[in-house]
Amino acid sequence: MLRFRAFFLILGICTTQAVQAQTFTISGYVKDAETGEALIGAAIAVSGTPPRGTATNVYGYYAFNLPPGEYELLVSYLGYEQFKQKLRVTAAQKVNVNLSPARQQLKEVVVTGEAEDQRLRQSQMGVEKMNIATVNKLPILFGERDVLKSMQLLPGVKAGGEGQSGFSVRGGNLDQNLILLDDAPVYNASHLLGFFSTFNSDAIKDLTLHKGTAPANFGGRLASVVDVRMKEGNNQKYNVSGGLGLIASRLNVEGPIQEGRSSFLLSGRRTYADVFLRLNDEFANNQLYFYDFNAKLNYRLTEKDHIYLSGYFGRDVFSFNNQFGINWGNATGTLRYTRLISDKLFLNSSLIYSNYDYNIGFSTSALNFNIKSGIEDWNIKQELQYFASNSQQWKFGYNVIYHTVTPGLVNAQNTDIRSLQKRGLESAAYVSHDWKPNERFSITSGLRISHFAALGGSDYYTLDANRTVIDTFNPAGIAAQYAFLEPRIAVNYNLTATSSLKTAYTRNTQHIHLVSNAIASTPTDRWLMTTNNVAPEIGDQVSIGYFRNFKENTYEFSVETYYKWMQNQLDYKDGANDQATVIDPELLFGDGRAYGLEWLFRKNKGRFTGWLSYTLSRSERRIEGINQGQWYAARQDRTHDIAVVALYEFTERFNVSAAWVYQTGNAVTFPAGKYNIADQVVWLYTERNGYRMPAYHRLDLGATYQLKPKRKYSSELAFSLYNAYGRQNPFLINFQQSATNPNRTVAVQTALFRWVPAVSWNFKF
Amino acid sequence: MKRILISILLLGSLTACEKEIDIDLNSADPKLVIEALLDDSGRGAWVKLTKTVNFSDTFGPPIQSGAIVVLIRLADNRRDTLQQLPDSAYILPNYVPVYGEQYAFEITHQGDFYRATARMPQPIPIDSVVIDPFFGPGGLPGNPADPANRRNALLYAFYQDPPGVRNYFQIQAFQNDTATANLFLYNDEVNTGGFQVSPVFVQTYINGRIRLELHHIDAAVFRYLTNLNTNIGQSSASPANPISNFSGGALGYFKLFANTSAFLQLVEPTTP
Repeated sequence: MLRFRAFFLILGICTTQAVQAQTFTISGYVKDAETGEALIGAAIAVSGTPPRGTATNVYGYYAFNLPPGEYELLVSYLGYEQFKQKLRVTAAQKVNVNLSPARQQLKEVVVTGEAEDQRLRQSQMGVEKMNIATVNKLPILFGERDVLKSMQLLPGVKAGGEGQSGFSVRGGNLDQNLILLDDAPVYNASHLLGFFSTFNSDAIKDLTLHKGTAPANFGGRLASVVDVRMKEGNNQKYNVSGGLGLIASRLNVEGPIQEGRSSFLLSGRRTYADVFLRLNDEFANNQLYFYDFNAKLNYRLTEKDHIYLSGYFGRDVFSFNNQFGINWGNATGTLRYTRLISDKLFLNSSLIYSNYDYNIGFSTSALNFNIKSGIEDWNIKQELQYFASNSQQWKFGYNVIYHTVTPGLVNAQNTDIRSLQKRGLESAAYVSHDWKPNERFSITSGLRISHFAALGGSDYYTLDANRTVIDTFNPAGIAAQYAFLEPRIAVNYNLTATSSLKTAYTRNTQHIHLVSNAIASTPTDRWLMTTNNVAPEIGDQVSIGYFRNFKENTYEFSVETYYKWMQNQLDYKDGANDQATVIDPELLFGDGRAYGLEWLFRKNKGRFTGWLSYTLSRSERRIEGINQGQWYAARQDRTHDIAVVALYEFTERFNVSAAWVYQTGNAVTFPAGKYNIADQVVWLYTERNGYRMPAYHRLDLGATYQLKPKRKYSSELAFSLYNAYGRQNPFLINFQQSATNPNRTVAVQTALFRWVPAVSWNFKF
Repeated sequence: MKRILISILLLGSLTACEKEIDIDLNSADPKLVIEALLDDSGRGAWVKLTKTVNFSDTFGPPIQSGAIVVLIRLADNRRDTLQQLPDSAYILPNYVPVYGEQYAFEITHQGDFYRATARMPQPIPIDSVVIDPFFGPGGLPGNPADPANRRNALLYAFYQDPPGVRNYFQIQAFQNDTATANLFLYNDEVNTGGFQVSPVFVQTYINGRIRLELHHIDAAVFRYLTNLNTNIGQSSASPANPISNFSGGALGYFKLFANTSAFLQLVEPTTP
């Protein structure tokens, strides 16, 4: 009897295999019909029982298996006309799909398909995608469209400060975000002290934010991954677009090199704030501006081989009377080669360069000095994507980064930069598995093995229990090394056709740290690598979420909750000297915890669109030696965070937008008393971050009016009003003796922007 | 650097505005504040005792009287008690410490005991001073055409750092015998044992007499003054009380230093 059963079991397995052997792989690329841009995350659905589906990867590629038969293939992507085609499967087939952008979004174009309920279906949670078209309609400071700032309107993402492009995700520090531009890390994603992000939205195709729950192919930061993809350039026709704004102008040129086969994109931007500054005699000899360039070349070698070269270069320049000057910026370069080894195997290899540096020059009649400081990465990344079956996909990959960090020293004489430069090797290997065991479940699991080696050849320090330097050594080999296993799992369970329940656990580690708690992102922020004294940061996050869509995906609702444990969180010790040459003794390490609840309600269709997001959260640290070893609020801890975004299209050519934000003030340290030393007022402090800045709130308004389009030419006027009701949100609070009564102490707040109107003219031909 | 950049930003932003606001701050128990100074200039020992007040209180901190203040030379345990001037500091005139020896202050006040020790550093002479005129009020190079910048200057003090040990310095500028408020602190972390160049900014001198004092101090006082500087300037990322070298929970410090000076007569430059 037993043998009999075993026989059937074996037969069953064989039958399954036999059925599988009879399937054929349908694969191809999904692209924009007008520009040839690959569409990321487009939904592919096949009729039949059971209905099958998949989505394109970051290169627009998809693959799935079908038994022989007749089907209907449906390809859809938000903002594009749906593609429908009868499919007769008798052998493996290439189906390349070109989707046309939906022309009349206002009329009832039924854009159905899986893309719309992507948030509901995918196993990943804590993922947000920014739609560049929406970003372009939102009002923004100085009228400069900015993906990073628009992203701050999403739940769980908090602005670093007034007008800043720096941000905190789920209670994390500003440096716990990995910002990738075509896979290259961008270390200082801001211009002009944070008021502009480095991303020129003309050159950006897609932005995905993972709130600490990224799959195993990402790693190296605790709080988030911001994956920014540059456009590839139109491979069908030439295209020139740009804009003239109050503070900056942009120009973007793209087109085919060989039609349908290769293309280029060049995008540039420059601000001219200093032109206004120079109108004032006092600032006549000053310069203050930034510029940036994005460039991308892509070339299809064969049907299966594709090569991409993309780069970014941006620089901020500030000089004062030709005597004091500072300039800083990022440069990144990515050389990528993708190969379709077979219909089911997709190989992606990249060589990536990334650099952030700043230079300070000071020249007077008596002294000259110049300082160069920064962080430089060389990075190799290789990933194999295997479309095993309709229900399973694998990713295998590795990543090796060689870091060189040059510390910022504001000192003139005979500095031997070499001996102070730190070098480190960060490596990781991973496997990630997407699995849909049945119609209801989808599971993404993965494991990442990470290793960090602090390399010798420069000075390392031995500290005693009081964190005082007792010895300096310069090892030839490895000064310190750490290895970690980082498991990740995300599970989605579809409760009904329109609702799902998700849960995830993720571990991340971090070896590159930024030592800055400043209110504004400054170019002289110091990057620090893990060493014998600086332990790697470790973060574990669990999250649960409920997702529900209504009225055929017109409305979507989600609520997510998370809890995060963090180890080796660094903070300055009391009264730290952040300009110290050797920073190790100034830092202390301890635990962190962050937890919160995020609600999002969004309307995606119709004339009126927008969203409402609310986050209730807490982020705390406990570090021996700070606040008597008691838990204290992290600087970015904000209890309430609300964003309301509304967009309304009056006509095809005229739309308006509004965004209102409300946030509990940052946690800050204020004095409890005062005393005199050498006839100067000294402040008496009793606890770390025990006070709150006043609540922050602001309304921004925007409008876009499209001028009458000519045959080959169209243009629009974009208006915005930042801080429409002129709230004086404090940027800084200082304490000083009252001017009227020198014995009395007063608090004085500085507010930066009230009623900042802006207009810009954008064109395209 | 951070502050300079932020102030430039504020300057550049025409919309920035300041206003006084009300903040409800907690009160704290009064703590003893000790300022204890001793150098080799012959001025002797000087100690001032005060207490902290609440933020909202008006100043005029009462001088603490009735304390027993004793200076001890640890080598031979010689004890000298300081005398209090009426409602003022405790002094021990003409006392000169010996270079390289350890000293302690012991203070008993209202039943509490406070103690600090320090070692007397070696004197380092100022080799020379170079004057660089035309600086803006913030200490950045200024426009020479602006008459306001003619009365600001950056002075560079040159001196030889003793090799083999880590050294810490404070430079105090005096304009017509009045100490300027700014603290200029330097160490030899970068150029150990080398010739040091330390900038000192002086503001609105009016054809005046400038004295620069080079104070050779120890690591604890250097750290204290560095923290004091960020505390006063409210420029720290982690505002806190400077860590005192006194035991017993007192605020303040015992600064034992070797003191050398340089004199300059500054004349308002003509525009180049």
